[in-house]
Amino acid sequence: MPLPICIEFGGGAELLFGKVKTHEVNLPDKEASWTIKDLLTWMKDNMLKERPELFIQGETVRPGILVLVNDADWELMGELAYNIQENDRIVFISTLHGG
Amino acid sequence: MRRRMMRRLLRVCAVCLKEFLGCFQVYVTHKFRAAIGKTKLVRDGEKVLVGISGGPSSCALLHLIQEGLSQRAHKKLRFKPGLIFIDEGQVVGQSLEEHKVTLTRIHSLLRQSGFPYHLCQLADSLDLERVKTLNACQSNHSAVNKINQSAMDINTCSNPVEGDKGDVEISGQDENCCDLIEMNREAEKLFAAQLGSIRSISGKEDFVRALRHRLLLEFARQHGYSKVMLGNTGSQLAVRLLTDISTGRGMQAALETAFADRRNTDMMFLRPLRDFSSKEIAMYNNLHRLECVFIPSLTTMGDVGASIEHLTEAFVTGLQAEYPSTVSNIMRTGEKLDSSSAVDLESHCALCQGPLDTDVGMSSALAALRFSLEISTMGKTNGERCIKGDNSVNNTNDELCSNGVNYDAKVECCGKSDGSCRSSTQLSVPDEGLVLQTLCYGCRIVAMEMDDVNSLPEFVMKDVAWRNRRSVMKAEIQDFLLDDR
Amino acid sequence: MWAERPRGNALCKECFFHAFEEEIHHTIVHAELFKRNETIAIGASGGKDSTVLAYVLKLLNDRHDYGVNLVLLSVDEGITGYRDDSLETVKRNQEQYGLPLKIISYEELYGWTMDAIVKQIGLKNNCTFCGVFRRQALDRGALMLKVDKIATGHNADDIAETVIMNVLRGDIGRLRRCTAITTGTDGALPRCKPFKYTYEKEIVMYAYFKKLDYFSTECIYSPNAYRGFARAYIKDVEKIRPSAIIDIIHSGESLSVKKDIRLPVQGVCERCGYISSNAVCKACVMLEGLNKGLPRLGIGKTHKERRKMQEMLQQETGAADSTPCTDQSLKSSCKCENKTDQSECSSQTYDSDNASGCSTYSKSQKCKDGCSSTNPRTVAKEKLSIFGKLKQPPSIDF
Repeated sequence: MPLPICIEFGGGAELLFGKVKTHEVNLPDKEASWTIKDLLTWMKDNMLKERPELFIQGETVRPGILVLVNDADWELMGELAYNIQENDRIVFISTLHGG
Repeated sequence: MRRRMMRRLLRVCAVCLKEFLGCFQVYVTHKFRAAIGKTKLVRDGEKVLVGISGGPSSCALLHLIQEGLSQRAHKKLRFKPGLIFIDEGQVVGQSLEEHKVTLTRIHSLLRQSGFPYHLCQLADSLDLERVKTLNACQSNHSAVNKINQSAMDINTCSNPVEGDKGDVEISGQDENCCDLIEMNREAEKLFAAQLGSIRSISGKEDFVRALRHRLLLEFARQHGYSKVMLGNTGSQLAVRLLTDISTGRGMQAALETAFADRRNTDMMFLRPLRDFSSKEIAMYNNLHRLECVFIPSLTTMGDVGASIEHLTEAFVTGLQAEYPSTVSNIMRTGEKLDSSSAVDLESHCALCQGPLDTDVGMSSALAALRFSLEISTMGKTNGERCIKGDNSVNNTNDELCSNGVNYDAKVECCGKSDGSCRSSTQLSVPDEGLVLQTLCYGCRIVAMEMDDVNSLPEFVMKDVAWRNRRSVMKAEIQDFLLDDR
Repeated sequence: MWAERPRGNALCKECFFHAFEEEIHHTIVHAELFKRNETIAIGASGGKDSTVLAYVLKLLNDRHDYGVNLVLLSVDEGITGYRDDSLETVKRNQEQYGLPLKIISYEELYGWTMDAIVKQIGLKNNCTFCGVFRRQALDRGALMLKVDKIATGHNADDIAETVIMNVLRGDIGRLRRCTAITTGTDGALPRCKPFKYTYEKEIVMYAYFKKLDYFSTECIYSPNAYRGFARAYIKDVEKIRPSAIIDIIHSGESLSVKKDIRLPVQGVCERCGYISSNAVCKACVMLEGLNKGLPRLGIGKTHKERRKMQEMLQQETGAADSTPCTDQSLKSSCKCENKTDQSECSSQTYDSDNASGCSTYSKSQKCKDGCSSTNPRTVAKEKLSIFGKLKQPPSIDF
């Protein structure tokens, strides 16, 4: 079963994703459940258009990019380990000056 | 304390999302009001110019002001805001299309606010000054004031709607935006040339910031505002402070990060969001679904090392991720620094309006830098020559400043130490020393990066001329001064 | 051979040497670092900065006739595989430059080598110990040599880095002090930094072209991570704008502190007489911790330290006599006779002419000011003020 979620970008992070702010995506079927960590890897391979280092650093997002899962700070949801649910809205907002 | 409480709330509320959002709203609103309230700097009915860039923090600021002024607000704010947007599309070389889109969106943002607003261009800072002497006396310059006034009119005219609730359609306003650009072509060209001649992005950023400050100041003065409010967050200000230190602007650092920036005696710049982190602001915007306008900067999509500010931002953000007290530590440092500014006009930098920090002794970084420039352009022939050079450093300040000009001269050294090159530089641009004298350490770096120091904005050159006249006058009346030490 | 100068000019080798040396001369002259007939101890670690410093100071002293006596002073922290090797370099420098050398070791001063300290506390806060101890050790050594000043090899990069670090830590007192070219003029032994405006890059370049013999291994114990961040940052800024290091120092020099901010008052440690902003200096607290098997003492927050120390004192109340000089556990921090005798032994490398001067000094003076200041009555009284919460003055001298 593919997993439909909504990924949004703001604060200039959208520049790295073809300048599109909202992406409705279906995460491909996977045995284990999807975590944010998996999602980041998937995004890097499938969505990131350019300069991956401006979005991902190591395994996690670059400092200064705020991640919200259904409007809640991902730090409260377990960060990389959070298990993504169907129709989750995951927002990446750059808080850095000029994106 | 408050913050810690909030943290706890956040954690609790993570379970029930709704409550959490409510708490957050209360927390943000309270903190904002407290920032304005406790300083008691904004009086009832006072006209306050609010700088709106369209970015996240200024969007949040606008929203908070709107909320605070609305009837339902508890402990209503009582000042009269006016909004200003400074178009910097040219700085980053936005395409005409993108530029139009940005302006349209900004315009609708401002129009919907219900406050009076103004749109202007950064290049206006050059235009304004062309018709205005920097001299503080207004009474005996009626003619100048008149022209000045008309120039201001042009600017305000360019606002499609002065006031609010205008029903001009977006398409019509679009044309107006283009008109605005049309009207300032000359200033724009001038500006492009000046900006283009500054070599580094760090220098360009400083230059843009100085012009922005100048334009805000001038605009507020002309339109009867007595305060300017800016939406800088604590995270941004921490970066600012460290960047200032790294660009030789340590003396300004406290001013630029304080709640109230009093560098100009007649105008106060307030930063009511300085206790918020960029993250909190982003959360706030997300909570209210505020549509910010993305404003690219000179370093957007650039390398970490694109500019000093950009690097500093990456540094502070990275450190903050590992040591969560980084930003607050930096801000704490800023709070302990002296942010009072000199009253005397002549002790301000002609470009950035910050305090002049160049009156230092012979045992200082500045003197060491000058000596270094001197000795590496002179080269070595014999020891005496060098000692002579050493003495000349002692002598006059003017000469030292003009020596600074050699900064960009890639001198093929060795043996030519007859001083010829130095004297020739002095002849070709006689005023450089004078100009540099009116600039602070940080702005000198910017000025020396320019091809020609004399191509600095008109208002700087005017200031230089004015100061020069003053010093000549002072010299003339020297004998009649009784208490001049 | 051409050298691109950070300040924008390319110079040939000879001109670079000349410019480099004259800039330091300029600094020395205008900051009035030296006076004729003074004796200056050069803090020599064997690294590039101090090696170049020794070389250049000797050269400038001859060239411009400062009329000062230069001596080398080294601190042996007792780090096998690092300091023992670098001290060899210093010993070679001693011969090459014809300057007398004095080596003072942690072991003789404190009774602990860094190796032993690391063994006890691990690799986490070892640099804090080393830093605190080194500062004092240099002063102690300088006192033994009867010098008027210490010159250290801190370069512009070091100072810029310290400025940034103090901003990051919000340490306003240090931020204000760290850009001073001469410190400790009020009472303690003054220290100066002739390389304050000299780029590290140029020091390395100078040493390289001059083929100076220096030791260039990193300390085997990991360096302070936080300082490492600041260093990486200033190096990155320097890449963007080569003059940034000096710009940062300028910023540091022009910072002014608000008038109503209370800065720590520099006093004197009542135990060892060393300059300190607390009643008992950090080194004494740390040392006490080491000796009492509580090595964390002196690392954490000050109030926690005090509490621990207080508890410790309460436990031991009445257990020992209060004469500082006879307490064996204290031998390291006390300036009494037996201590200085020990240090005498390790100064074999010291030039024989001055050695005699050194010994007279250590026997007579040292004990006089060292012990007179710690007479039991004043100690007890002052201790009351530090441990204000204690109901009774502790009878033990810690």
